[in-house]
Parts: sequence; C-alpha cells; structure tokens
Amino acid sequence: MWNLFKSTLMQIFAVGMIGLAVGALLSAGIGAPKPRPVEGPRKFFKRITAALRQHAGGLGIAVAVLATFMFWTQAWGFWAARSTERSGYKNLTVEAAAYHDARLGNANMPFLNFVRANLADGQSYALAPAESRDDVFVRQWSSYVMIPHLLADEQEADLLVIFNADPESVDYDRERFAELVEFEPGYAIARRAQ
Amino acid sequence: MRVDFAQFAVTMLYLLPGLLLLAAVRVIEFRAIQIVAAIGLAYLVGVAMVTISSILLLVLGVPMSAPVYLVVAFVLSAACGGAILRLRRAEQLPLVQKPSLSKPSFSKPSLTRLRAWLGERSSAWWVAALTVSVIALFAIAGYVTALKAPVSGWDGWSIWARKGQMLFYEDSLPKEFFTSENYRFMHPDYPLLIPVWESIFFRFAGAPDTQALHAQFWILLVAGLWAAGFLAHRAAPAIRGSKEWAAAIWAPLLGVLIVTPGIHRQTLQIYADIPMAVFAMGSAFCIALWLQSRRSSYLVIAALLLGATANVKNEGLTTAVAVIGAMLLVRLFVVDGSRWQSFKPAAICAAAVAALAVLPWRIWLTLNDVHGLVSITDGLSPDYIWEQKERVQPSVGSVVNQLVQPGVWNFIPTLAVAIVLVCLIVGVGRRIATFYGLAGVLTLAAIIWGYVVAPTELGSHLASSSDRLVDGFAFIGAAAVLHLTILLARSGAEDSTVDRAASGATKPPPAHD
Repeated sequence: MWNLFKSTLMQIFAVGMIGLAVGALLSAGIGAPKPRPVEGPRKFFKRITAALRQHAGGLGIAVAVLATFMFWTQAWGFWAARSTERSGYKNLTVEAAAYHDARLGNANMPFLNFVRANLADGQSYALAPAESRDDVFVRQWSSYVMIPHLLADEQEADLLVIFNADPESVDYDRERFAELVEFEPGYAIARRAQ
Repeated sequence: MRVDFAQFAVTMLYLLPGLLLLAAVRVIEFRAIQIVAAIGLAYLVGVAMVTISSILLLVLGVPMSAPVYLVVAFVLSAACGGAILRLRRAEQLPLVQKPSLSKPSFSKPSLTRLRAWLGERSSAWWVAALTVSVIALFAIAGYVTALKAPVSGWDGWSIWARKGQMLFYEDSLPKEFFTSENYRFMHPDYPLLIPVWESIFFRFAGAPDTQALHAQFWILLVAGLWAAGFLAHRAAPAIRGSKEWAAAIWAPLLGVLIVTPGIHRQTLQIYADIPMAVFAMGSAFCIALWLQSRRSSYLVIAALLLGATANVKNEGLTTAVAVIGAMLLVRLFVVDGSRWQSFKPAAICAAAVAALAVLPWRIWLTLNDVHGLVSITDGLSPDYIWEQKERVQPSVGSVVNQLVQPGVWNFIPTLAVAIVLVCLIVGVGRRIATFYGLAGVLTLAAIIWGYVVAPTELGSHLASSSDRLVDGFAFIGAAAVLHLTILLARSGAEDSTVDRAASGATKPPPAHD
C-alpha cells in the first residue's frame, strides 16, 4: 500500500513535469517568446511557461524534496534487506559461494572436482557424449570449473570426460583413450594411452 | 587476511595514479578536504588508467603479474607526479599548500566549542550531514554484504569471472581460449577491462576468490556515486552563498541512487553493465561540466572515462560513441547565446583519446580473426537494417518498459526526461540539458540498434538482457538529474547567472572551489 502510494506520487510528479514541459514547448518553443497577443489554450500554456521560468529554482528544490522523501522512505527497507542477506550468507564458504550456480543444472561438482584433480598442468579435456557436450549448462559450467584447462575437441584432448552416460554406450576412440576410470555410475574419465 | 589486504592494496593501486592525475590536470589541489572529496573520481580514473594500460601491455605480449601491475601503477603515478612538479615549478608554487600563519593550525577541541559549532549549523547542513552519514553507513553495509555474496548471475561467471580467472592463471592473453570454437559462448570479442580488473584483484588475493570479488564491484559503484557527488558540488559549489544548501540538494539524490533496487541487485550479479554505466555517468558528467565551465581538465577526465566505458563491453562502446556524438553535436551546432560556436579541436581530441583506448584490443581481435555475433558491415547496412525492421517495435517496447518500472529504477529515467525538458524551456543550463538529452536519445538508439541487428531470437534476447542494457541510459539520466537539479535550484537563488556562466558569458569559475 505504501509502495503504491509512493509510486503513484512519483508518477504524478514526473508525468506532470513532462506534461507541463511539453505543453510549454508546444506553446512557446524553446527560444525567447515573441511578444504577440495570445488567447485560449495558448494563453494558458504561455502562463505555464512563464511560471516555470519564474519558479525554476523552486522546481530544483521540489526535486530535492522528492528525492529526500524517496530516500528516507526506502532507507529502512534497504538496511533490512542487507541485514537479511548478510544473515543468509553468514556460513557461506568461499567454495560454496563460487559454485552457488551449480544448482542451475546437473553440475555434479564432486565429479568435476575429481576430473580437475586428474588433469595435469597444461592438459586439455573433451566432453562426451554429444548430449552432454551440447547441453548449454554442462558445457559452460564444466568449462568454468576446469579453468585453466582447455575444453578441446576429442581428437586433441588429453582426457575424455564421460558425463551422465554409461561409458559402454558412448561412442569414442577407445584406442586413444584406453584407460577408463569410473567415478560413479554414469560418470567416468578416459585417459589417453601413453 | 590476504583477501582483506588485496581489497585495500588494489584500491590504493587505482587511487594513487587517479589522485595524481586529478592534481596534474588541476581538478584538485593537495589539500586534505579536496583529496577526500575526490576519492571516488580518482578511483574511477585510476581504474581506467591502470586497466587500459594493462590491456595494451597484454596485447603487446608482456607477461602480467602482480609486480608488473604495481609497476604500471607506479609509472603512471610517476608520470602524473612529474607533470605536477613541472607545473608547480613553472608557476613557482610549493607542492603542498601550507596553512596560513595568521590562523592557528590546531585548536584544542572541547565539548563547549563543539556544541557551539553545531549550534551554528544551518538546517540545510543537518539535512546534508544526516543524509551523507546514512549513505556512508549504507555503503559500508553493502560492502560487508558483498564480501560474503555468492556468485549468482549466469554471465557473471560464464563470461566475466571466467575470463578474469583465465587472466589470473595465464600471464599472457590465452589465445587458445579466445580463438577456440568451443568457447564462442563466452563472447571472446567482448572488451577486456572487467576481466583485467578482476584478475588484478585475484592476483593480489593470491586466488580467484569470486566471493570477495563482489566487494570490488561494490567499491566501484560507491566510487561512482562519490564521484557524482563531487562533480555535482563542482557544478554549483554554493547556493545562496551556502555550501550546505548545495549539499542538501545533491545528497538526497545520491541517496536515491544507492537504495535503487535495480542498481544494488545488478551490482551483486557481478555483470559488466553497472561498471559500464558508472564510467558512462562519470564521463557524461565531466563533459557537461566542461560545457558549463570551459575547463579542459574535465574533458581530459571525460576522455579517460569514455575510454573505460568503451573497454568494458560492446554496449559500452556504443554508449561511448553516443556520448561523444552528443558532445560534438552540442559543441559544433548548438547556438550559444546569440552566436554559433566556433570550432574547437578539444572535443575532437577527447574523442580521439577514447578511440585510441579501444584500439589495441580491436587490433588483437582482427589479427587473431576473432569476430563477434554482429558484423559491423551488416550492422550499418541500410538493407540489412530494413530487413530486420520488425524487430524495432518489440525492442523499443521492452526497453522503455524496463526504464519505467518503479521497482527497478526509482523513476530516475522518467525524472531525467522531465528535468531535461524543463531546463530547455526555462533556459537554465540549456546547453547542458541539450547535451544530456542528446546523449540519452543516442544511447537509447544504440541499444535499440543492437537488438535490431543482432542475429538472435529476439524474445529470449530481450528477456535475458533488456533489464541490464538500459543501465547506461539510466546512469546518464542520473547524472542529468543531479547536475540539472542543482543548476535549477541555483538559478532560483542567483537569478540567471547560471545560464550566463554555462553559456560562457562570464569567466570560468576558479580552478578550485
């Protein structure tokens, strides 16, 4: 209710100012008004223009007063929201905060940590099967967690990451990636043959 | 502990060259009060100087590390310091102003004296002091919250923190990532300022701590608001001869900005949009001050901040072009009093500096055959734009809808439009209002153009980005509201002197207010 009141007040003020300004523009133009007799609506807008010019300082003060009103009516809400957020984040570790968006899809963080631990410096990896490789979340999230290891094509990769599929059913170069290590059902890595 | 040190160290890394540059171009003098007042602007300028220089070094193949970033900041500071010394020597002035001997430099504080001093304060002083104190409290509360915030924005990790971490692990530009088809989703063509800025923090922290990184984004936002307050003060140092009155006008407007829900939410998403908008606001404000005061020092600052705006993201580049376009149009074509402006090369030079800041990364992209989603040739082709014409109406609708949402922007864009129109009519700061109006219109046109020419599915593109892409417009609007409101308020107190000063009929104000 309070927010609705503030919103309405602000809308009326802003729209009113725009209305006055546009009306005055249409009536008098931007330049200095030419002295000529005016009648009807023109006279009305002329008066508005003159009043605006006369009370320009007051308009500035009015905006400041409105801003003061807006600020103080939202101040407590801002403070309370930050307090709530701080309480919510109190026990968040650096790692939990970094991987907070893992909840957006099937991230399987323990498996990705296992993969990362199995990649030596400078080694690259590829994702399999095609469904996982083409899954927007899996592709982007896994490649984010694996930095600085490069997500490469299968032909160039040092390690094949089998994500959410039975290794037996995945089509890959078994001679090249000869050493299969299963992390848990559906999740495995295949190391390149030495 | 090391992360806390990193927060302090990188802030100092930007503050030192920033403050020295402000002193070198005579925006401030070495007085404690001026240094404190200019900290926000100095931080923004420092970030712009250090990151743009670092991008150049990265493109040149220089391996970057924490000591190298320190050297970059030191060299920039030394250059500015050298300029200050030369200026001082030329004018035979001491480096630091000594306190006058006629006044006691130190008086013993006492409760009675404090009570008497407080009793002498005006109501405007109390309004300003209370508002600024609460804003400071909110800034600290926001910082403490940001320190523990989780990474919770898709582009925040998938584009920006990803590249920041790449530059943390790799000393040079990791070409294999930027040129790989597997990483097309991270928009390898996007400018590098935010990744470099993030990686500098990671290097000083000793780890890619994306949780503490949120505090850096918060510091940048607070610096932007601090800078806006400083520039508003420079626009009208006194109303009715009183600094308190001027502060009582701009302080609540800054307060509205800090509590605006859209700004706070987006800052903690660690996207690049708010940093881009902060730089755009600073640059627009400085250009408007240049138009008002004719002091080219503001133009130097504006050029640097425009360079930073263009280096944050592609939309920053179009926003910078829009602001430069508005500046050139106002400088060249807007009637000033009874005469047309004579051509001055300063504005062209500022535009050239901003363009130079973008050039290294663009050259690297061309040399390595990295392209964005939109080809410039297509984007500027009238035939292609005509083919895409059905995308105009939904884009305009979505963008305007975002700007008028009360729960997001606190009516700042609506108020900006209203105040610009009022100033045009009443003749207060008309040239400045024209500049803000043109900058806003061109920025909005650039956003719409981006949607029209993008080879994407429009519905999802608008849904995922229109709330953020309007940030530049909203922040330029905020600068307009701050600047023009204070000019309006001053015009009431001092009759038409503002417009005379703004149009150059009077001498420029003294260098230091």
